[in-house]
Amino acid sequence: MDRMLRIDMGAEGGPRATVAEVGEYAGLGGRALTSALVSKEVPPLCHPLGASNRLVIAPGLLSGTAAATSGRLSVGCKSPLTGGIKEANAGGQPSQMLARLGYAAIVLEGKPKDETLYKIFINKDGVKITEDNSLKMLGNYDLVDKLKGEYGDKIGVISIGPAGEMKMSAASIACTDMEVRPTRHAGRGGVGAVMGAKGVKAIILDDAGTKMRSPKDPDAFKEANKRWVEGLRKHPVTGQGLPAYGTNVLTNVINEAGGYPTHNFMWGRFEGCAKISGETQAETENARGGEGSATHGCHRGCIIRCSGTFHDKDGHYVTKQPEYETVWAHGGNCGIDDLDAIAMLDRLDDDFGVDTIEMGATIGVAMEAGLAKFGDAQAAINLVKEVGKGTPLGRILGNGAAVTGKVFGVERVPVVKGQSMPAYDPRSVQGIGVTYATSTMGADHTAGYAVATNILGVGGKVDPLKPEGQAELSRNLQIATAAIDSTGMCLFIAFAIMDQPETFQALIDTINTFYGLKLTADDVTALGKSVLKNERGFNARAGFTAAQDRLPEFFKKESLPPHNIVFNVTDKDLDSVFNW
Amino acid sequence: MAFDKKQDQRNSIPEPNLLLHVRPELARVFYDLFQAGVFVKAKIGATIQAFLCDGLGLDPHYVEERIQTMFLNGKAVDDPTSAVIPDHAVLALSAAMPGLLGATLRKGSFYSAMRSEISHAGQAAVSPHEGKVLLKLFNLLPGEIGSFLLDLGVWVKGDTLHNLIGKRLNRLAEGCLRAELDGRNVDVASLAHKEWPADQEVFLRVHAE
Repeated sequence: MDRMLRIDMGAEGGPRATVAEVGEYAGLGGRALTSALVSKEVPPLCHPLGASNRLVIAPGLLSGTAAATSGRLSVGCKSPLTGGIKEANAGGQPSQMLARLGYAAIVLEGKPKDETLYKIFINKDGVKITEDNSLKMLGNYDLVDKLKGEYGDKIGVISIGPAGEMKMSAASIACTDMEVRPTRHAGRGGVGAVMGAKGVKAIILDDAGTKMRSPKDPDAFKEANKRWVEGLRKHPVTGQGLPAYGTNVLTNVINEAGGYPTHNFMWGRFEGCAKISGETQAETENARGGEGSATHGCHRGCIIRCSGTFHDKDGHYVTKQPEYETVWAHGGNCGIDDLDAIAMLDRLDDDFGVDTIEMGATIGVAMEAGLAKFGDAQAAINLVKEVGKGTPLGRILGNGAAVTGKVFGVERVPVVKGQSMPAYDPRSVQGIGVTYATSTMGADHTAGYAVATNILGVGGKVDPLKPEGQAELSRNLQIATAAIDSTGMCLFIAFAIMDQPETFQALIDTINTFYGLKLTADDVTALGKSVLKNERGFNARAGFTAAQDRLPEFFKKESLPPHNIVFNVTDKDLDSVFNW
Repeated sequence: MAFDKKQDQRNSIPEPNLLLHVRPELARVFYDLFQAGVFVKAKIGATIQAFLCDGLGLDPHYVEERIQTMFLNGKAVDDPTSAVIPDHAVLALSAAMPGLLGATLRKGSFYSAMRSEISHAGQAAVSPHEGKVLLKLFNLLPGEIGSFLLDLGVWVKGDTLHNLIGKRLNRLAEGCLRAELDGRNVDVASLAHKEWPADQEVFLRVHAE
């Protein structure tokens, strides 16, 4: 993984690929690499859909190795949704395949001079870029089926749907899973629109003939990885809860806490939550698809296996198990308590290539605007179909909640830096509101997700019995998350390392024995800080100030039932998050 | 072991009451009830710890290690040995949860400061007396202690029971060996047509054989 593939899509005579050494980006992976490259090479004031923007696709440091649960793929660029830097990541097969093919990153540069659509095929023998306008406006599912017909069913595909081609700000980039279905998405920030602007419909990966990446110290790596796997398996979250119920197991608990945004963030509890909970979803999946249908990995080598497969009442495949955020966004947020309708919305989102959080939040805003009634599942499906067709209404919705709120004059629009909030109301858990407000990414729950700061040593050894400030906790979480996002490890590993110091040691040993390094917890902190420094610097140069590090006004004015609280973290505290 | 002793909810069994003798694999059909909650007897004014260990008979080690998340009337509980159950209490319990919020909401969480607005804090004194708690179980807990509680007996709203029986009638017909309504044997299929008063609680016991 010491090469970088750069493709100039606007080169004279057609797209031109160049393979070079990683150079100054050596030793970086995932988010650390994408953010370093975007920060250095993309003019902060450029148009996100213009030739100057770059789309960086990077496996994590441990992707392509035998390390368990290391298959996250990072995608970076200047975001059309936020106007700032963006890193969105996804599971699926491509990260492992790209790493085994030897690439630390693919960088799409420039812009074609016309509307020609391209596909890029990469295997051990090289890179082939081909015009293929027959792919225009294909949904991701039809696209992948067509590509399988051409390249076989052992491929991995990174692709965009019609939303990406139409350069919508909610457009995602799809990655295929183990069944070569386009179900895993780098969803946030409109990265799919940037790929569309580059004229690239699909990147097809074929890693036949390649081998797993070799560690510097194979025996020690094998032993460390064994401890790593054991640690993940024995923890109740990564070894039991997530495999059994998936992330949607959160629905009941967040609802009980009164922090489940309902009817476009009007209330903190949803009456129909038990109908769409993880427990109900898992039971439904197992009943329809057979026992075990609720437990499935998104890529080979994942041992948490938090996903599943959703079938309809007749046993036909609909989509992968919708995640908690998707079930919330299209469910409780829109007053919809029908799992079948939510699964259909998830399928449509994946097929059109849009972010499920952004689309669900947008439909919520549209419902508040009166375009449909809260709870009307069919109306929600119809609105998402407008996006896929690219009608004038669909173009508005496909550009996200902020645009939709503006167009229809809605005040309660739950966005930060133009990006929709995920499934946790910041009035109930104010610390997550600090992360929503200050993250370099816009409102993003995963920006401060690595709940292992105490073990990682980020922020020093804080006394757990002493109430710490919201700002300090959020800062430490954001630093730890940026570091883990760079490894290619799924963020869910944080639950095991939070409770099991020996599992954290196993992770460190896995990295060190693979690369022949002697990383310490301090190095982890330094890496996280450097990522955030690159991102904050880019955003500042793009024109962001403290004014963008704020929640929408209604969170301070409208109290949230049932606990009737408003967001009360001061601006001064928010501005202190990045004082380190 | 989740339990160290068994408490009896049946000292004075009210009517209507329904006793189902079922095959073991059918018990999970009733776990749905725990999402919306079931009523169980409780000493109002006792601590949550006392309710779980002395009242329900759960092993203190299980409560300490396995029940990582507790809500009392929607407020996250950090110390079950001091939080006291008031009248009309809703107590929700879960194993450790994923996500930032899952970690934040845990009892005694390192990140508890992030949710201080919804943390359970001091409360007014409650004079001890007998009452009921609406008990909710999420995540892994229904599978681990649900059968025990159902065997002990729980109160459920009539409309909730009606909906559950209607939804699961086929599985009930296969897996229910015997049903007794107010002490009299009844045909399982007939339960689907029974008019349970919506606002009346039914004492339900499910005995796996």
